[in-house]
Amino acid sequence: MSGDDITEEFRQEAQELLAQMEAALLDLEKTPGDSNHINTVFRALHTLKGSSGMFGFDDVSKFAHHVETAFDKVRQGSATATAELIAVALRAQDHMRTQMKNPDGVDKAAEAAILAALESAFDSAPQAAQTEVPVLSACDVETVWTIRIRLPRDSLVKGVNPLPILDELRTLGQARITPVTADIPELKSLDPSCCYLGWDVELTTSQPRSAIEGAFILLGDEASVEVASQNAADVQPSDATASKPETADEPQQQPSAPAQQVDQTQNQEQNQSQQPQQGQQPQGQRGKGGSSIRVPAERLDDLMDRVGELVIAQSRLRQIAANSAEQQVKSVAEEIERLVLELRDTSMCIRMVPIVQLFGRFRRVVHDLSRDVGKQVELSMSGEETELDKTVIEQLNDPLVHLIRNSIDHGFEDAEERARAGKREIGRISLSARHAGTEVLITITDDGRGLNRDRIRKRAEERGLVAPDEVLSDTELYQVLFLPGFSTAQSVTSLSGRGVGMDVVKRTIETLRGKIDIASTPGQGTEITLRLPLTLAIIDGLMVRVGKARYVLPLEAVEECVELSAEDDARSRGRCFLNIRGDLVPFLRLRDLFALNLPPERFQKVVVVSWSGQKVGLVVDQVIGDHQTVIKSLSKLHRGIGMFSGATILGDGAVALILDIQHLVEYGETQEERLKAAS
Amino acid sequence: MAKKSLPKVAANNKTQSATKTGQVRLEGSLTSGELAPVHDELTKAIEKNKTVTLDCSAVTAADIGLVQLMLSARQTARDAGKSVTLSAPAYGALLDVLTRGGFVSAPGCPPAIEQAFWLNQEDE
Repeated sequence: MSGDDITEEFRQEAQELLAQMEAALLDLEKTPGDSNHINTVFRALHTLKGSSGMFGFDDVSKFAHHVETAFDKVRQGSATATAELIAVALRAQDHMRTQMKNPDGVDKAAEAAILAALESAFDSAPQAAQTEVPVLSACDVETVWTIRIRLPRDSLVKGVNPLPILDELRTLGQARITPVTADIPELKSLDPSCCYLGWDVELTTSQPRSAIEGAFILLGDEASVEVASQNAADVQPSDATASKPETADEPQQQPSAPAQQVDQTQNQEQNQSQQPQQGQQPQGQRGKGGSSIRVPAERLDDLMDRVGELVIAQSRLRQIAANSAEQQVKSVAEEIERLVLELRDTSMCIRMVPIVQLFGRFRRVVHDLSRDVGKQVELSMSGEETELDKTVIEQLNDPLVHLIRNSIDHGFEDAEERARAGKREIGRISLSARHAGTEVLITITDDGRGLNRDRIRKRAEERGLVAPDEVLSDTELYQVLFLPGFSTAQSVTSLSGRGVGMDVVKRTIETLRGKIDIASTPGQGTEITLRLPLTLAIIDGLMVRVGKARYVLPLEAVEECVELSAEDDARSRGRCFLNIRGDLVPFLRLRDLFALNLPPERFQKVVVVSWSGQKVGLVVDQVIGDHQTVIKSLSKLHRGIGMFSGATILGDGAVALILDIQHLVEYGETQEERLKAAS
Repeated sequence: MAKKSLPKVAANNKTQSATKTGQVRLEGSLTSGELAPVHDELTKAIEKNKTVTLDCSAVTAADIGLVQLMLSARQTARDAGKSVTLSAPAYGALLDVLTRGGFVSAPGCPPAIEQAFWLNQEDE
């Protein structure tokens, strides 16, 4: 592994540590004094301090050290984690995140301000009763502990430095440190980059076990550490990863606790699992026992590209085999088809990541926003384990932040109004995710005042978006909320009210080939549902032919296919409408749109597609059938052509363009309006 | 990221074939990623000589990698009926690692195993 790879891996781990810290701070705000949360914050800071120093992020290390020193007062029980303190700690966490991303662009003034705020928050924090954090308070009795440290061979390569750990043990009491050199081989067999040393430590201290175990936070997951008091029973076998340890955070009032083994990974995971319902950031892809590995996202993209090409090559092979009389070729082609489809499904699964990675971020958003607007709002989440394509997840952040902002700023009443309406003082916003067929539904529900239909209608009429006598369903009316610049807010706040945001939400969701549904009950709240496809890389398409060229339409947009009779065709010259069961549907002749100079075929077809409730027919020469379409993006030169959203390579090697349904529907509507105006 | 200075690990080996005593001079930053040249040099020196003296006076940075390499050299020589000694008591960066790692005890405490080697207090 190169130095860059190791640094990048450290950056990722640091981000996870910061996420753990953030989640624990948010939990701590709800349950001040909870030693599990306090220890999680402290452990994250301590690990970050040590490992960032090892990897050369000295500024992060120094800053983390200051925060850790300050937070140690909470851990020691000499200060209480007040809301103010937690708010500053969250700012500090944000600052470290910035430091990690851009070590050279750190605002030193902001850094100093955070440290000053931290100090002032501690000064004003009331002193906590010792009993609130019994876990880390010192015991009166001095105990002699035997500590056995064994490091994996690759510790030095991974940047583990045991010396600071030994230093920390010395700070806890009287330590007799004996290096274990028996594993050092003779020179010829020695690899200078490997670690062959271990240590046996005899520590006499009044500190509890948890304090001793805290010193080993910086050791890697594979290190074996045994901590036992000398008056305990025999120490268990040294395979630390094989046995389940008791938790390190458990209060250890008895200095003569029985011998325990401590495995760093298991301890951390156990701490995590204590708050499974609180949306805490999971341990990322960090698996136990090497059952998972961390892979750069770009490699997954590369893999998906290759699989896409393989799918294309396989469909060419299928075509060749179909035309071949050779039975063996057919047999091999079928086998390859089966394998390729399995490989495609497996590759797509690899790209799926649980949505908790996204949802976890919103705890902080809700926390900060509710404080900013002075409304008490709590967030609940469900279905965080639902998996979604990583590309989709990455792009969902901004739309969801907009929706949550709107909800908190406009959706919720103030406390008095809620009380008058007989509601709980604390507003509730819930995020949920679930699979529904080939879609994932993400729902944001609040128990606020609901949408004001009359006001939305009035504003829409004022802006000329809706005719005064036009009959609209709620769903239709609420779509105006997504128009650029549309807002019913009577006041503009720093959060929302300018009408900017909802149009961005809609555009982003539609780019992801998703849809937005809104349902609202006055006085009871609003529910916004985002319907998203499982993956963006491969779609089910309907292949059609116009002239000699083939095109693909996303199958989900296709409503039906009808024949364009010669009579309809002749009648519709000038006014392109089709009467489908009483509904007038405008249609576009793709032949005209693409300026093909060939005469139309005798039996043309109309493929009716829909987008946002609007329908348009597309006249084609032939409907070929369904087609598994691997989406390839267009070159920069062609990307600006609105009619096409991408391209795919067909079995015979030809390129088929994928039609952009949204664009075509909008184009069809403008055509319709133009014709209406002309008539 | 802070970059360490380039390792200066070209050991200065003065072999006096008559007495079969060799000297290996260790200098510069000698942390675990920078030890390959020293490893080679030590292996050759022990092969060629009955006694090898290590001059650590110019070591500017060290970690436990260097310590275990030196211990391995000492044991390898001992197994072959040879010896590895220090030209002077360890000090500076090397002594810091030895003290923190428990290879050398604090004054007033019982001496650690091999402490005499590190402090150049072995009986000739």
